[in-house]
Amino acid sequence: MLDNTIDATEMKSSDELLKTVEGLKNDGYRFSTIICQKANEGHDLLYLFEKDNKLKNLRYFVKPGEKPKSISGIYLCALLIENEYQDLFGLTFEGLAIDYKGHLYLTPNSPKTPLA
Amino acid sequence: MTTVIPFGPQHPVLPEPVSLKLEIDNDVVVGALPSLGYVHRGLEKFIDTKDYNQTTYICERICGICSALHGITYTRAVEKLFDVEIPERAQYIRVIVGELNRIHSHLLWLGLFADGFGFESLFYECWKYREGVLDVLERITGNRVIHSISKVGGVTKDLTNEHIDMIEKMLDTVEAQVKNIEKVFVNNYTVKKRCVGLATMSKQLAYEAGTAGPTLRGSGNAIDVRNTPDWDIYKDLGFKTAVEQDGDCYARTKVRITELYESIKLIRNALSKLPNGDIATPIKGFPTGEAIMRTEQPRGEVVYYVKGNGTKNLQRLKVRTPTFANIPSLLLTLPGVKLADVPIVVLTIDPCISCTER
Amino acid sequence: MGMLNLVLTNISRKPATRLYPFEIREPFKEFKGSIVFNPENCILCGLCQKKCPPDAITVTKADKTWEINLFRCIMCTECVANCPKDCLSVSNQRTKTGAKETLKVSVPIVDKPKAAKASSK
Repeated sequence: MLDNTIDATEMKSSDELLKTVEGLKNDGYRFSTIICQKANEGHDLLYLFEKDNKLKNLRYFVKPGEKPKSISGIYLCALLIENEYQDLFGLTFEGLAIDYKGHLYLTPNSPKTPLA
Repeated sequence: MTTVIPFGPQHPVLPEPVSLKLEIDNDVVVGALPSLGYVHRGLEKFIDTKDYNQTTYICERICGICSALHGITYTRAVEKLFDVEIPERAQYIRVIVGELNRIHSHLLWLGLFADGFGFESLFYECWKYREGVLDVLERITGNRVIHSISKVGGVTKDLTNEHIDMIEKMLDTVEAQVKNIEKVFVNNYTVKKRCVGLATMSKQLAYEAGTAGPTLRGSGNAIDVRNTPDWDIYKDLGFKTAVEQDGDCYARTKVRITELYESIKLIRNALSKLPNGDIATPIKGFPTGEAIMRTEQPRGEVVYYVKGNGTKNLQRLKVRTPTFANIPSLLLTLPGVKLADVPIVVLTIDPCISCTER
Repeated sequence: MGMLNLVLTNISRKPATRLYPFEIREPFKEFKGSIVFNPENCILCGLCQKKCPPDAITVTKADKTWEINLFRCIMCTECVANCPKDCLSVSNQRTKTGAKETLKVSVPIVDKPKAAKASSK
């Protein structure tokens, strides 16, 4: 297979994303990680959940200037990775349980948003 | 009235710098706030200028203790992009070096854990046994800790009959030695008084907090990535998951000791079934597409994501290490612990901070 | 009584450590110590420079030299595996502390005279 892609369900809006994530938590899925990359002027977020060694993926595209909603209210462990993306990509998540405001890794005299 | 006391970044029991601000009320911890960033090197940005073969060497150097499995996971992810099967002998050699890495990492942790409650002579015993394993790794691969055994398409070095005899003799010695110190960790009155009932996590809490590895298996969840059908070599070798039910520090120690015996058994089976053949296949072209690969490191489940766009450099590499997943569980188990027991609770998740902040 | 047995056994044996620097262990024969360059057959193709991950090797065609930065080399042995004329090899002797940072070697390559090509046409 020449185009290797990962099967993922597309999410159209932040509220749909939050509702799907709550449904996955009630089903018994475990949170794995969030993968962020630059794509077409915005950022592409890929959420990974796992149960019984099978992965379930959700894809969500963040338009430039948009503030995505945080899922740390549902899964507390997501707060570390969302803070990391605030540092490295310059995103801002709304509703974070603990917010480091862009200073988790970077100090005031480091380069700003190195991966963006 | 609560006081704030800093734990770290420099502390005698921590192998790597992490800072926790502890709010304490009369000797009992009430809240904790972690603070990272002391060893952030920006490795995910560094791979922009290196091609996909040179990135193997960068991925191995993310961590010094679990370095073999970082390299193995990265090369398996890139081989998935190329859709190529590597020879069987290469897969067996990767498993043997990976499990030897797990033995040395667990012996290192047992020593650090004993040092955490002040039992220094047990600490030196464990590290003395670890030297035998490191000498064998140096004879097989050329280096004590950063092995460079795996490359895209296979492995770099072969095992001769002399190496196989040497590994088997070392395994017999280490098994007898670990039986001696297991009696101390499991039966000693002082060790039990400090570990039993400390930082208990229920089965539900460990699962929902997103933990991985022995932290998850010590609470009754039998989840191990070596059971996945993606890499079925472990089923052929007769792998069994190590699980305990209690969820406290004592249970997590017993899980790691059981995994030590399990690794010794897996290496013996792999050496007896080692097939003949090549050790690498040639790879042509450039990688395209995206792939996800997960394996089980000594500390838990690691997830690698690679994306190629048809040129010799990869477009994106993302690594989620197991300690990154275990740190939020510290925020949930530290409240209620006495200040003198905080080093033991922090060491029981096996923190590897240079992995966390690549 | 597990720990007491271990302590008594250790007291009755000789120490497990070696008295370095008075006793030095010989390096194992598979140990990756340093890269050795033999300039006899080198054709200055530059493949070792292209494959080196930390950019430790510099090949200058104009001056006919091959240079390695000993502090940058990570002993990955990619250069050894990729040299088409087998000029590079691994030795098990480590670089001593206090060595100079770079090692420069001139390559005795002979230019083919252009007159021979024109006459064969």
